[in-house]
Amino acid sequence: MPSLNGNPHMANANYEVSAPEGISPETAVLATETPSVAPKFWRSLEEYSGEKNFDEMVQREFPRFAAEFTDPVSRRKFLGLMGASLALAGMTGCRQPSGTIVPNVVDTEGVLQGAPVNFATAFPLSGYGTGVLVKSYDGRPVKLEGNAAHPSSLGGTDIYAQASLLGMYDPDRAWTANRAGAPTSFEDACNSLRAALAQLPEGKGVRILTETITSPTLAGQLELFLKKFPKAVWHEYEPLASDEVYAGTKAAFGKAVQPVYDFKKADVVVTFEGDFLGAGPGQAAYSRQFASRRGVETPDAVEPGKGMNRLYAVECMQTVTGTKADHRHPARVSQIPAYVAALAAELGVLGADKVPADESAKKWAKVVAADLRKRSDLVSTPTDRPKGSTLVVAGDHIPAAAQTLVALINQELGNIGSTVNYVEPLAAGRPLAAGRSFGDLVKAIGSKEVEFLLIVEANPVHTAPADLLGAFTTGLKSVKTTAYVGTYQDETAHACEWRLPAAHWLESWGDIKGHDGTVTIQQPLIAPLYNAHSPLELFADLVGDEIKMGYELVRRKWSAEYKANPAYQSAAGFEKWWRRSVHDGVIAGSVAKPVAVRGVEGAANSVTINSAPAASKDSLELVFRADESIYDGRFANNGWLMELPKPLSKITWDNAAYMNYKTAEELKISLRKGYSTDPKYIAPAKDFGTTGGEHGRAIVEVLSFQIDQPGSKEKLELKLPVWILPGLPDSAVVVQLGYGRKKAGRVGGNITPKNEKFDGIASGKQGDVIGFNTYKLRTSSSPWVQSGVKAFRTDKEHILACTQGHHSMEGREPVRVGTVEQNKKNPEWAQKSHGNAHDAHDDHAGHEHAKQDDHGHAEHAHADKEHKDDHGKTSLAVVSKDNILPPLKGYQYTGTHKWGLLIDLTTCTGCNSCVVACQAENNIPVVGKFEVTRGREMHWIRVDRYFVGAPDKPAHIEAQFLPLPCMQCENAPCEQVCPVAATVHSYDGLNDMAYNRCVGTRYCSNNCPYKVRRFNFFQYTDYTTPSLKLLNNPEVSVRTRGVMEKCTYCVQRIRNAEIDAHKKAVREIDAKGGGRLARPSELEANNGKTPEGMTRVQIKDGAVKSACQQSCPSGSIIFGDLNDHHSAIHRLREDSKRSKTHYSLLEELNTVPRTTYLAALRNPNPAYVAAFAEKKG
Amino acid sequence: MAQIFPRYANTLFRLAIVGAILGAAGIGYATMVLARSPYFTRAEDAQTQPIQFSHAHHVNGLGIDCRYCHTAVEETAHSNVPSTKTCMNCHSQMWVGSKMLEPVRESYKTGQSIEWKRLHRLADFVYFNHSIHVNKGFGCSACHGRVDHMQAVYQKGTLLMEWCLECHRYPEKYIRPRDQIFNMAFKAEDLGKTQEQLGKELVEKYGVRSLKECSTCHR
Repeated sequence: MPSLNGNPHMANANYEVSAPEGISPETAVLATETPSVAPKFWRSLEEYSGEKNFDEMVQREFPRFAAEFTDPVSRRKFLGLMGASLALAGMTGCRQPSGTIVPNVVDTEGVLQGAPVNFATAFPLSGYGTGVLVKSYDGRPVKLEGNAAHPSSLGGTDIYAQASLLGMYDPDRAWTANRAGAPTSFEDACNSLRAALAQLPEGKGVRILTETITSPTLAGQLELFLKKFPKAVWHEYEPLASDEVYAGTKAAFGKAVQPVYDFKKADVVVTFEGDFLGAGPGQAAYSRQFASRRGVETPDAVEPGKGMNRLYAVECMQTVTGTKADHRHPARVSQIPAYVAALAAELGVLGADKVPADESAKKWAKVVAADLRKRSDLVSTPTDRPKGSTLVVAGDHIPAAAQTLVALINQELGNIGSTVNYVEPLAAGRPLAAGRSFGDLVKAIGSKEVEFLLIVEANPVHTAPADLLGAFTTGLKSVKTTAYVGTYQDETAHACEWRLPAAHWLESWGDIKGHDGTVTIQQPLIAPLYNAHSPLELFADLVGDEIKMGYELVRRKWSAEYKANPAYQSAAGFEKWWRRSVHDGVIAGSVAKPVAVRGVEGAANSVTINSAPAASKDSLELVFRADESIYDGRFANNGWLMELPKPLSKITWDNAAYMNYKTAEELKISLRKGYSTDPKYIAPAKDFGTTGGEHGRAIVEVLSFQIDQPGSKEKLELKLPVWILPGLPDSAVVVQLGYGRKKAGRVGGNITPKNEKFDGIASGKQGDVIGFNTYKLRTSSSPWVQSGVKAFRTDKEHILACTQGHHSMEGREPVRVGTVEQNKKNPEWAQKSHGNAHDAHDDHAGHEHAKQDDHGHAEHAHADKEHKDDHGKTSLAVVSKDNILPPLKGYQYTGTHKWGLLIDLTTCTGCNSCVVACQAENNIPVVGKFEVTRGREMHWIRVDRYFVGAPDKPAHIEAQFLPLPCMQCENAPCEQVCPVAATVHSYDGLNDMAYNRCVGTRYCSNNCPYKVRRFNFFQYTDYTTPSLKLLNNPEVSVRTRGVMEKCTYCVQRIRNAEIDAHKKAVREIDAKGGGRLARPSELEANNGKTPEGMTRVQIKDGAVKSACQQSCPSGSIIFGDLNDHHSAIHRLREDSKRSKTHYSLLEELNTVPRTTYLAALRNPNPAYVAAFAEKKG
Repeated sequence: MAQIFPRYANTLFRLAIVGAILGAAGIGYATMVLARSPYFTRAEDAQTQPIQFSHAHHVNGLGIDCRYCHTAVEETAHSNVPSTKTCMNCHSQMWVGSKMLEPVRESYKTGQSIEWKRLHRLADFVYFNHSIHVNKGFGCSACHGRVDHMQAVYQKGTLLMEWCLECHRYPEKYIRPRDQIFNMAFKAEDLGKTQEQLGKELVEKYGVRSLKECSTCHR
């Protein structure tokens, strides 16, 4: 069987045709003229422009040298190792190792050994909880799933929740209490702290610094503390929180409230910088609600509350929300208030004279306001949209004035009470009263008012704004008693005297509110691994509470709440209620009640909307955002998140300054280096591989960004590598916070004596500082956006590990995108749009091959014809007739299960939750930046991001996400080339991978047209760190060096469900007292019904969920049995109105994938399209 | 030139060639034999346990059912080794002063588990599930042998993959009715049938499949 990748035809794919000649590395920026044949979908600029080296790169399954053993191991050491392993193989390889069995002394009632149990709790992030179910295996948590009963989860989770499991087992967590490095005990530390407190009358000089707190119990403890020490002050610092929404609603309604959205009811959504699908409290729930109006079966339905919704986004950073928007309008953050004002004016909320002169905003607002008022597309005559069927969302950090207008717009549109409810601030002590901010704390420290400072979890030494950091760190030294309690010994811990380890949320009792105020009682899954206590217990100790245990503290609080709240009470009593609440993971009826709000008279016209300061290449606008992977830096030591490619930029292990193409061009940035053949840029293999780009090693320029500080001669300065995100507005630079940690741990970066003279450019090597600390550019007066930033070229370069080019599909247009209108006109558009050869074959939908195996010959002819059709075109002519795989033979899959996976590209937001969930479920290792630059990352499912549109036209850039797990081909190319039959088919059509049989030839990976196989080039899995051993899912083999691995459809879950179903069936036979199990053939003959007197094995639809499916917040991944005609997947593929948009990737190769897709639908507004049409030429 | 090698050197040389080939084959063969030998597979290798617990006495002599101690065998993948508490259910009443049982009492008192020597150990990449086998008509003795006759328990089979596959290929040779699973002495002939007849019948009744897919056991 000839290898697909070795096929000479492949070299003639798209790119050779379009590669412009004669571009030297010195040419500034990319070829600006649009290439003669630009691919419609592209992932990197090289791909778009047809860079000549790109061609060579895509043809290599593994980058040059990636497959070679080039690491500095000497010959002597190699021989030694070989000799030792040979000896070991001989001595111990054969004899089964013995071991011990250590049973319990007393078994726990209701717990069967080896049977996992799920417990409900909630994952906290920045104070807000997402309900999760944690799978505990013999007493250790191994996997998290969303809790469908929790309103902030609805069954899905975000990446942080999935990855926080690794956070618990992190060997770099704080192990023991210590006093400036000298070990002590928690009790001793508490005694000393209490003694210190006792010396301060009424708590004079006592300060506490925390992050956002919504926990009723912890808030109660703090209240108690402040009562006992009335002069103490509680400060709060959450680097990503903002009080603008409270200020805004206060001005609008006379009352500080916060919004809770309901996207289910919204036909039209407008978001101003609000990344509700990407981050923030309620992200998972909002994604699911949004998807419920996105992936609808009849997208063109015109009745309100039905059909596909429409999303308008105005944003600076290209976020996943903006990417899903039907119309994304790039605008600098400082311009956004003008857009809000223009929309408010159009809707009659604001006087037209108050709107800043911004023509683009006015033009935008006119179209959007019309759509918010009336529906004019897909209907013959425009009809008024009913009140409350739209929604306007504002990002947390847009200024209060704009927040006021957004609230009033929602009122005007009748959305309050329908798509948005306002509730009292959920976090304790918010909005921050005067004197409680971090700035106030620094001021107090500066004036020597602080004697005692207790910091709970916050890490201000890393996250403080640049103008406060110096005063804070130097001031800390003068504070008499400083204490820090946190899960890590981070930068702030090192600046404090007493350092107490905090218990992880999976180790402690607590309570927390979700995005809508619903309270979850958090229960521990495991006793603290290290000598750690929760902040609850610490406060109990400090105030001298008679109760010291977390459990008792939470229970006492809720026993009081139960007594106080008649809604909780029932005849069954408190104990029943408590057990039910803990078991369910939600306290029923604890959701925050909506507050009745009414706009204050004249509120709109009392706001002042300033026009945005001008920006140019000499005066850039710098925007700060949470990092998509490591948040504000707290997850820096989490390898799963560090190695997660960011949704849009696909950068791992780093941050960069994002700017658009035009801005980069104006700054004369050369982007060619990473892709050059110039020997200067071909680094030796021991450094960072070879020519990168496609395989992840991008050498980019480093710019120096400088900001003038008012009243100071010193400038804020930071060197940052540059990365192009084509959808950003002109003259805007977006940086992400959280990197550049100096005391994070072995993953997130450590500063050591060796790298103390850190000059701001991290090497990216293990243990070194990772990324760039952008907090150094942030100021307390303007934490979200800085105007007038200057950028200077430096002679420095930086290597970024970017996976956007990995596993290229060679421009075969894997994503199919259409519009609702197109779908209405021709429901089969997705079949036709593919390539350009399918027009004659649109009856050949992928699923038909699976049904009829005698289609093989027809397929052959089909492929043959296609090949001829392609003659001379840039299209699918990658496989000749001879190379088409043989037709299917002998696989019927009748009467048994036929597992399949369906991914709905309409709803997929590219949030990466599936990637991390898969990593957790399947024991997938982290490989490190160095290995990623060689294209060796191990993720079993990757999310490809394709841009659509010309890179220099940000307003017209669209992007599509394409998650790619193993396709589980029925006619699998990988199986045909494995010399040892390590990858073979199972009876239910799974493409099994037997690791213990694999010898590591990597033929399979070479022959996989989807590039979904991953090879363990080295021993990536940590076999030695004790805590990381506990992390592994015991249901899945831990792979060693030298074996191939790939997505198995979570076969462990399938097999376990099968075992349960079979057990149930045979027990049924016994219960009936006779009969037998129906044979598959009998079921088939009986139209799938169980014959008389027989029993069948039944796995209910939904009983097996793959890890990716389970975590997906928007429910875009559907797994199930294709033979079960009542299953959701069967219905969507074959029997629904959307079935016509169903397609398989590269179906022309006749691989008959089991993983298939529903094409992406968008719902653009024709009026908007007409108004913003791209000018030709 | 004088002859250096005598004539018989030719014979020696030929013998050496044959010897080398045979020797290499022999080493290969010996390795295979060794790998299957009880030394390497640990079959029939009874080890000294911290307590000389006799299955023969408890099962055969006293008639205690397997599931009295191995409680989870019908429900989960593991057939659990009983907790100290299980031993103490009886031994808090009988043989309370026995020296042999001192470690049990010690464990119960201190809360320290008894550390048993492990006898059956599958490779880490094998996922065996007890519950499905016992539920589908495969008795304990099919794999574990006559445990009721063992003073000290030992591993009966080789636990090599070929040993598993023997039954996965021909399940009818080993299957028995579901009510006979814990009957150590079960023979098809006791039901008046040959194993062949019974096997065919039961395989059909319980829908037993001959599973030889990799992912049946390897994940």
